[in-house]
Amino acid sequence: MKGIFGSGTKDFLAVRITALILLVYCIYLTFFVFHNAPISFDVWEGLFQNVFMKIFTTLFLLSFSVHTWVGTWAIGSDYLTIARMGSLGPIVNKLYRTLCALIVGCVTLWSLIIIW
Amino acid sequence: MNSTIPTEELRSITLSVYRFDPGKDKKAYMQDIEIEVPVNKDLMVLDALVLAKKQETSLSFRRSCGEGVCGSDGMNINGKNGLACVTPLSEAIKGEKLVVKPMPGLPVVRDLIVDMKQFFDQLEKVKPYLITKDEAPEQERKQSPEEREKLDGLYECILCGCCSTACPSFWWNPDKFLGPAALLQSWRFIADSRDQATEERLDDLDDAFSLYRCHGIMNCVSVCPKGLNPTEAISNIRKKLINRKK
Ligand code: SF4
Ligand code: SF4
Ligand code: FES
Repeated sequence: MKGIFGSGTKDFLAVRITALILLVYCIYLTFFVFHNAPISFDVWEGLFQNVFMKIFTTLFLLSFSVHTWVGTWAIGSDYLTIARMGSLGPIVNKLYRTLCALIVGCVTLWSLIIIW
Repeated sequence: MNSTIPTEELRSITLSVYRFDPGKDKKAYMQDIEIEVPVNKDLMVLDALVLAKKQETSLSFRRSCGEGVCGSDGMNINGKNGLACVTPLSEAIKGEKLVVKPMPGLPVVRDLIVDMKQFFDQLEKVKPYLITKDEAPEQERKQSPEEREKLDGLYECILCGCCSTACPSFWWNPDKFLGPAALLQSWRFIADSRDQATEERLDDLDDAFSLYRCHGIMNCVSVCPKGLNPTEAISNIRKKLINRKK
């Protein structure tokens, strides 16, 4: 199994790099909230009107989808297998992947629509 | 009848041993065996098993060298994998009871004996031997003392299986994830200045399972009876994979 991006190394880097982006985004947002506390609706809205923040948030959302898609695939291939669940394994895994795709897809798309 | 070894003061301990005879038992069970051990002298877990076997002659386990060299008596001793022959009873025992089970994750052949096929199949995949492309020199392939030093902490592996069978990733995917022992050997040959198949070796490892299923939990390091560090070897290979231009 060559992995989602074609090699183990690419998958590994995809997860690590996106994790870094998620972390930087969270730190930035936490810093912003504390710095502007108590935060009002106007301040919050102003933040997301900023084009830089829109791009940053888009990057965050794309990173989120890549990170969770690869990560949840790895979890499924550890636990939801024939070895661990018998013949049910592949079926449960398919259902699980569909659910993951739905959640990741909806959250990302919906958020993108809100941001832009 | 209790078996004893000739010595002064004795105390009684309970060995709780995993028993399973596929010809007889439908299910595995734990059997308590009382043995007498000297008060003033430490024994190894293997000695305790030998004493227990004097009472329960059908009790089966592998052993050979009795001194941590052959790697045949890997087992789960009070919850931790180790070699019975070099694990002191005093260190392993909790209270007056010692629980001994086969190494986890591999099929049990009988009692404490596991089928190591999956373990050796994975080792075979990393081609644990020198691969050279140049013509053989007249005498030998030379190595400087510094190059030779790079193999310290790698060549000492005795393939006991304690690490791989303590690794959750190996339990989940024993056919796809190579496991710490095989990966340590893989690095042993990648790191060898005389080996000329680094690229091919790295290619073989660059899928989603073979190496990358290591999550750095370090169970392997904590159980290795030879004090080796498979996690470090794995991270060295990972660095090589990331730094090459592919
Ligand atoms: S690395 Fe250590 S625990 Fe693993 S097989 Fe080698 S000697 Fe045994
Ligand atoms: S560090 Fe890696 S190889 Fe070692 S036990 Fe953990 S997952 Fe297994
Ligand atoms: S009997 Fe050889 S390593 Fe224990």
